Amino acid sequence: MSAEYNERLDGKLPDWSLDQVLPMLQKILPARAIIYAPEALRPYECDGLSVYKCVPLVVVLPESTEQVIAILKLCDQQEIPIVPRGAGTGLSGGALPLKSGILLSLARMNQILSIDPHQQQARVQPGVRNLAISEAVADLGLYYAPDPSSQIACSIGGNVAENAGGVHCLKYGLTVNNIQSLECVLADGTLLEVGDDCLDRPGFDLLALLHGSEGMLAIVTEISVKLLPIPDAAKVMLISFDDVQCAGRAVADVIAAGVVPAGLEMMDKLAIQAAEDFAKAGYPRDAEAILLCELDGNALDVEVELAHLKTVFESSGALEVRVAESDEQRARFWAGRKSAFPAVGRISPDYYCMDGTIPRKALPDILQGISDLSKRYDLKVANVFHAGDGNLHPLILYDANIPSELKKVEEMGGEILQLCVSVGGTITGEHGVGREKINQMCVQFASAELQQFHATKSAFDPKRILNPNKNIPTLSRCAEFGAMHVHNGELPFPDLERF
Amino acid sequence: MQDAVLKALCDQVQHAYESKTGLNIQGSGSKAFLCQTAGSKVHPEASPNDKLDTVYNETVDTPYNETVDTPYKETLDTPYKETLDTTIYQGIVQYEPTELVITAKAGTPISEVEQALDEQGQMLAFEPPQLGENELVTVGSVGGTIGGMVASGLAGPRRPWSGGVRDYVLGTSIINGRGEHLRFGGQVMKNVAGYDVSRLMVGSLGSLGVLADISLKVLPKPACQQFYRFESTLTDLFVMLQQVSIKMTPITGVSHDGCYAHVRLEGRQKTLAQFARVQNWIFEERHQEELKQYWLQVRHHQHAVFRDEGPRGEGEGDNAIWQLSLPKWSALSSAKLASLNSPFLMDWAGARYWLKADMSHFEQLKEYVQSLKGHLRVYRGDQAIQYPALSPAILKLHQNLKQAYDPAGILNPLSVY
Repeated sequence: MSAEYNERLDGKLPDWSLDQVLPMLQKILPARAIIYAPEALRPYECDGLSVYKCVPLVVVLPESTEQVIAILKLCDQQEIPIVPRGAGTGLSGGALPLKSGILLSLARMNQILSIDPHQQQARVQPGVRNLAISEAVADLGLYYAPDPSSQIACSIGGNVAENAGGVHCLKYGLTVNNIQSLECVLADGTLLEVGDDCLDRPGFDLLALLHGSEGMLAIVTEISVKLLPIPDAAKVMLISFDDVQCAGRAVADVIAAGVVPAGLEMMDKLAIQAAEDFAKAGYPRDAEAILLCELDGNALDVEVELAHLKTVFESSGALEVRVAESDEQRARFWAGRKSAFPAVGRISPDYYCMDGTIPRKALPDILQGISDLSKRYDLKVANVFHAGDGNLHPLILYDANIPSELKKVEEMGGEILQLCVSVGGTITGEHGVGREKINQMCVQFASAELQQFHATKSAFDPKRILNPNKNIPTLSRCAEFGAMHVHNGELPFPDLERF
Repeated sequence: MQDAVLKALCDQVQHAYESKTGLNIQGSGSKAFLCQTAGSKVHPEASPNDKLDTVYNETVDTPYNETVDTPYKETLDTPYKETLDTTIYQGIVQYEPTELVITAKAGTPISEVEQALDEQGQMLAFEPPQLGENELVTVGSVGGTIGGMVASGLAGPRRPWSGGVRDYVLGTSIINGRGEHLRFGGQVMKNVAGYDVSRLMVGSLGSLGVLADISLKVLPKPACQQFYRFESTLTDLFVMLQQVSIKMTPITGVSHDGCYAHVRLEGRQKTLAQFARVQNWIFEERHQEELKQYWLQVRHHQHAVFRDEGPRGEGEGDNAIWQLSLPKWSALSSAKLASLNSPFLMDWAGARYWLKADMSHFEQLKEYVQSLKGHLRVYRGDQAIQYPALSPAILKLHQNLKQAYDPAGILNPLSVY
C-alpha cells in the first residue's frame, strides 16, 4: 500500500489554484520571496527522499519572522495547507509538498544572530546549517554537539523539526537535549517564545513537544542552541571481528565496562567492502563486522579508557584492535563510515536507507531477520549501525530501472521496521516518519494513541493547515493498511473518525 | 495481556471520566504539596463540575508578550472526590545494565530504582530529590515514587551539566483522562515516531495523564567524587568558574550556602586531582564525608533552608520557601540578600536559588526575579500563588493540551494552569 497522499484515506485537500493564491501572497511578500515558475518549482518537488515527488503550487521564502507571521495568518484565514522545509535533506518525505499547497522554505532565514560565550549559547535563525554553528564558535573553543551525517548541508530548523541525531547521541544526546529555547509561530500567526535561559520553567515542557514534531505544530523562527567546550582529546579505535554477533556482544561489553563512548558505530561486511573501495579508509576487507569506537574528553581519561577498552575488545573476541595514531588516520577511519551511503551507491544503481532503532541486545535477531528477508526478496542489504544507541540503518540495494523493484523494496523495508517494533524498538530513530513511514505508524501505535496524537496536533493547529497528514496516519489509512491494533473488537467501524 | 492492577487504575479513571469526578493522583505523597492548587481560575462558590469547566474552557485573548498575572485566587477546599493510588502499581519491569535503560511501574519507590542501579554501578544522572512526608522535610525521612519524580520534574545538583528529568525519559505509558492506556516513546535511545508525549509528561504534575510505566536512560556512576569548600562571594565564585568553564571541566556541582561556596568534581581520581591542582584548590580529606552530606542535603531538600526550624527571614506573615529559577551564573546582589535578611541556598551554578522568606516579600521578590529574567515560585507556603504566570499564548496552549488529554478535567484538577 502506497504511502503517497490519497484523499480517500488521508482526507480531502482544499482545491487551491495558483491564480487564487498568488495575488494574496503578493500582497504580503516582496516578489523575490515568491517562486511560482514551473521550472523554478522543480527543485522543491522532493526532499532527501527522492522516491516521493510532488510539485507545490508555489514556494515562499520569507526573510523575517514578520513575513512568516503574515504567511501563516493568510493560510489560517483561507485554510491553505502549508508545508515547511529547511535544507531539504530529510530522509522521510517530511517536506514533501502538496499540489494544492504552499511550500514554506526557511532557507533565507540563515543568520547567526548572537553568540554568548558565558552562557555557552548561540541564537540562530532556522536556516543556519548545523555545521556552520560549530564553525562560527570554534575560535571560542566551543561547538554544537548533535552531528547528523548531513551536517554540512542540513539546517538547524530541520534538526529541531526531526529531533535529529547523529553519531554522538549516546553521550551528547539528541537535538532536544541541546536546545535551550525556540521562537516560533503558531498556525494562526501567534508568535511565542518557548523556553528561556532558565533550567526550570513553569508549565508544560512545550519545548520538548515541539522537537520532532515535523513542522506540524508550529514554525520555528529562532533557536537558542547550547554550546559545549571542545573536548581536549579524541581517539578512535577500529576493531574487527569475524562474526557479527561477536561484534554485537562487544558493544554490550563496552557499556558493561562503565564507559560511555562519544561514538560507537558498527558496519557489516558489505558496508565495509563498499566503504573501503570508495574511501580507502584502511578497513579490513575480510572482516565480517567492524566497530569504530571514539572516546573523547580529558586527555588523561581518554588514555585510561582507551587502554581499558582495548582489553575489553580483546576478550570479546576481536580479531584486531587498531588505534588511530594521528589526526589524519582518525579522519580516515571516520571517512569510511561517513561515506558509507555514497559508497553503497557506487556498488548498486540505487539504495534505500532504513532507520529503525532496537534494544542493542536484539541485534543478533534483527540481523538474522534482515538476512532472511534479503534472501526472500532477493535484495542485498548493507548494514550500518549506530551501535551505541541502537539505531540501525540497513541499506537495501536495488535498481529503480527494473519495474516494480521499488515496490518490492518498500515492502521489504516495511517488514524490517515491523521487525524492529516486534523486538521493542521503533520504526524511526532519527529520520522521522514524514510520509515515508506513515503506514508503519499503524503498526507501532494503537488507534487510541493515534487519536491522542491527532488531538495534540489540534491543540496547536485546529484547522490542520501545518504540514497536514505527515507523521500521524488517519485511522482510515490504518484500517485499510490492515494492521490496526483492534482492542476488544471495539474498532469504530464503519464511521471512522477522519482527521 | 494487560496487568490487572493497571486495568483497575484504567477503570477508575474511566469511571471518573464518566461521572466527572476529580481524581487526586497520589504516589507516596511526598510531593503532594506541589499540586494542591495553582493557577486555577475557579470561583470559590462554583459547584465541582462548574469549577472544572471554568478552569479549562476560558479562553484568553490578550496579546502575546503582555504577561497577565494568571488569576490566582484564594485556596479552595479540596476539589478532589477520590484519590487514585498509584503505589499499588509498582515494581521494576525491566533492567538490563548494558542497555543503559530501566523500565519501572510508576508507583515504584525512587529508592528501589536507585538501589537496583547502584548495584550495577549505574545511576539516575539527574539526581531526583527524595522528599519526606507531608510536612517540611526532616533528615532521614525520604521517599517518592518514580511517577511523582517524572510528574514533578524535580532534578538535583547535576542538572546544569547532565540535564534534567526530561533529558532521561525515553518512554512512558499513561492513562489519559478517558481511562485509555497509551504508550509513547520506548526503551531505546533514539525514537522519533509520533510526538514526544513522554517528555511532555515531565513536570506536568499528572494533569495530562496518570503515569503508568516509565523507561529512563541511566548512566554509569562516576568513578570518584571530590568536594571543595571555600569562602567566596557569589560574584567572585562565578567570575572564577566562568573562566574555568570555557574548557571541559569535571565540575558537576556549584552551590553556595550563604557562608561557603561549594564545588563538586566527578570523574577519575587522577583527573580530579590534576584539575584541582591547576586551580590551586586544596583537597581536604578530613572534610570529605561532611561535604558529601552537604551535597546530599542539597539534593534531597534537607538543608536548613528547607527546614522549619532555624533562622528565618524577617516579617510578619507566614514563612515560605521560594524557588528562584534564573539563567546560569546569576549572582543575587548582596544588597538584595541583606534587605531580605533570609537564609538562602544557591544551586545549579546560580541557575537556582532557594530562599526562606516571609510571604510579605512576594511583590518585591517577583519584581527582582523578573529583572533577572527568571521565574519565582512559592515552593512551600501559600499555594494560591505557587506558580508563576504564563503568557496568554502559552496559557492557551496549556488549556488546549489539557482539553486534549483530559477532556473532563478530572486529573489532578487544580494542579496546573
